[in-house]
Amino acid sequence: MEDDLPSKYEVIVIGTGMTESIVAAAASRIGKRVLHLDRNDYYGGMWASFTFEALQKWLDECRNGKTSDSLKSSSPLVQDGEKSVNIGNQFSTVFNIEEKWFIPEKLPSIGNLQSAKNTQTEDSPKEIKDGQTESEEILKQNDKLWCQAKIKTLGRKFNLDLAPKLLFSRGTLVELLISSNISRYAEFRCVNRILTWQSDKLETVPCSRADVFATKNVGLIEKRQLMQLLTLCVEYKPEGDEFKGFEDKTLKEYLESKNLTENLMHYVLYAIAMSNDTTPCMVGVERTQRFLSSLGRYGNTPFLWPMYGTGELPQCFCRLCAVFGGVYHLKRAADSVIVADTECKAILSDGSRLDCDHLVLGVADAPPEFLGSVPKAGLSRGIFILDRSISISDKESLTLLQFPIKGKEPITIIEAGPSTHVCPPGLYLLHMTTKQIENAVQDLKPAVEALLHTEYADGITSRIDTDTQSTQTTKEGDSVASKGDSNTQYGLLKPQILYALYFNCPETSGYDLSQNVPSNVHLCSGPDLEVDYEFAVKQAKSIFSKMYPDSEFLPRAPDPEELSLEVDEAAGPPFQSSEEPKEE
Amino acid sequence: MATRKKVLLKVIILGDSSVGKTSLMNQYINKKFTNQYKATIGADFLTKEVMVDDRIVTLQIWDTAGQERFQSLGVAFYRGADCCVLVFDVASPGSFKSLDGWRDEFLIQASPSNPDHFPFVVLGNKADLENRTVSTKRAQQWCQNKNGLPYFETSAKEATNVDQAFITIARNALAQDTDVELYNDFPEQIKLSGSTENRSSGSDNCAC
Repeated sequence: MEDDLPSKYEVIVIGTGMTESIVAAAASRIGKRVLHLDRNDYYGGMWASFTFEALQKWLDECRNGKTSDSLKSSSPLVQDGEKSVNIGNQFSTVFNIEEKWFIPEKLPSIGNLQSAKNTQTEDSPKEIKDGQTESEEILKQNDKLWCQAKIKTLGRKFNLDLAPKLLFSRGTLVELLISSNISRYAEFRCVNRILTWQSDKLETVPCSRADVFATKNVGLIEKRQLMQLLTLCVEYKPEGDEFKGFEDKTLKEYLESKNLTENLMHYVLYAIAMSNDTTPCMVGVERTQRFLSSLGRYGNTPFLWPMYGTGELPQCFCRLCAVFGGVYHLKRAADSVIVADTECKAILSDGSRLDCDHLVLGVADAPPEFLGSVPKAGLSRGIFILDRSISISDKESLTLLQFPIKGKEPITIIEAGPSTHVCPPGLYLLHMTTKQIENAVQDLKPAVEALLHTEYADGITSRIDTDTQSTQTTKEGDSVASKGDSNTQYGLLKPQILYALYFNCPETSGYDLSQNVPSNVHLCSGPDLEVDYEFAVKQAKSIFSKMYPDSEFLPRAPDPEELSLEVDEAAGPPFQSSEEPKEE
Repeated sequence: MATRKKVLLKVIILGDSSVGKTSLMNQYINKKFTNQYKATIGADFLTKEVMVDDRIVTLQIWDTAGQERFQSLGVAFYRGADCCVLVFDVASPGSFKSLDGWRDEFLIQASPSNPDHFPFVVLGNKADLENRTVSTKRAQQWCQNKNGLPYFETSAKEATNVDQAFITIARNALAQDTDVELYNDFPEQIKLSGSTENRSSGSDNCAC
């Protein structure tokens, strides 16, 4: 391989997932020589966001389980006393892929209608005035009808997340983005609606004090009860008595002891504490605190969502790494890891030996030998392209819904619209994530059936006029499906699925990944089940402090204006020779 | 549309390694040039306020931070660009040939809504060098074939044509700034910062 990639690094990072990218940025920030490789032509690995075409390409690779070329073990680059361990195959970790269209490939009538309309207007505009308005009406309706060709044409307007997550406004990732000054690379939207599913309908959860008083869904006494309860949780201190006796009980049992109405119980348990009927009381209190403390910083819910989807975030950290001298090479696979004794010495990539002091890699790229008994199952994911929101309101909403499943983990649902640049105008994107029990299709079925219209849409008959619908629902204020609505009417309000994708992928956050690896190899879990980034940030921090215990983790990067740039590209690219000393 | 909110224009500079992208930026903003390569903190983005036809706009000029070296610029880099500056070295035919690739890459990754009229500006840098191999005519021809892109021959070293080029960049970026009001029914996007804790403006329910 003829390239000028230097051959010696302090840190080599394989894979550009969230955790890997944070570690890369942190190492580069303190002046370490970092090489960051990814075999794909995009950033993010299992944390990526895709255009529609890119998603199709990714699915093909997963289906074909693209195997990396097995390397001759007798490579001349492997020295005496060293052995070479092959890198894992990331595409083999995704399984149970189910993809389904609910709309025709093409709208059969649209072309005919258009030509008919043209001839009509040209030939005798007066005569067929009635016919014209009729065909225009259909054309207008057709704007709301979708076909596969139309979705594909607009494919670049999608940013389909493999691992959709939200940021708590006062969570560790937001604090890290601010303190490290990486926030300048990203923009966010505030999640502006938290829904819950109760008694077979969707309701907006009042989160803030103002919300509680404004809501029509709870009575006056309930409002007071809710405020009292939330205040108790916020003010909770370990030495207080409020939760005495509930240490070994569930949050549900505590809430029951407060004589809350069923309505309130539901709001607090599922939406605010983001728990279920088996969550321990103190875990629930902690989650309630986390929820409440993030309220009001940026908006009326505790959550932020990155513009263009979650795949942007790893790239922000990679940019910081690059700005501080990290070398980036996409479309560059690592083939094997060279180990001697209990240490990783180097990696082999494209016929080159690249030495390193530390190796950081994602579980998806890890050699099977390093993984031991790490499970291959974990997450059930669903991605749905919809023709409208699950609950239409006068403004475009960005929604979180924890869909409760009796006795199991809830299904986390995030719905985002075109103003976050994740889908074209007129469409919505709905993500479902839950713990894998069977497979994605089965695990997500309760939420899919409850919320979405799953019949095939032939593209000829429009189910219901959307405009009428939205005026109907917005009048009701907070209540999405008002009590007056009959069930049949509500049924008609469900969004049509245009395209659905299901898959399963591993969830390794609960496993100690350091058991089977050489001492200077650090594995990063893929996306975890939780809705936020707490786990990824925590893991990145712990990997960094293992590598460089005495160094600060991502200290604030200076603003560009604070630097006097003295870089001159004319003299050659950075890192002309690997021996070149690096200054800060 | 009377009062436009966005006066911040994102400009990205593309081109092969060592054609002088960072130097051009540095010359324009800091009026500095150095021949000596110093391995220091790389270039990120620089901002400058300029007057364009009686309007003050803030140019935010993004450097590639070296990620172009192995064609590893991620899609996030291209997001929301208002103008793309294509730079080549007049003494390097290879860097001139790469312009097509960089232009295509930009159009694919940024996918602007009007690709045929997106404002590119082409700079032939290092015009001070005596051993130039790409003729002015050849470069102009290429720009002509791409819907008549503006072309400047610059020298970051001698500060030749640098200001003129960036004024054109700012003007053309501003002229194409049409997408801005498309999504105005949703509260403003949020930039995170520790000090000013902004809230979503359009929210009816203020938090407690």
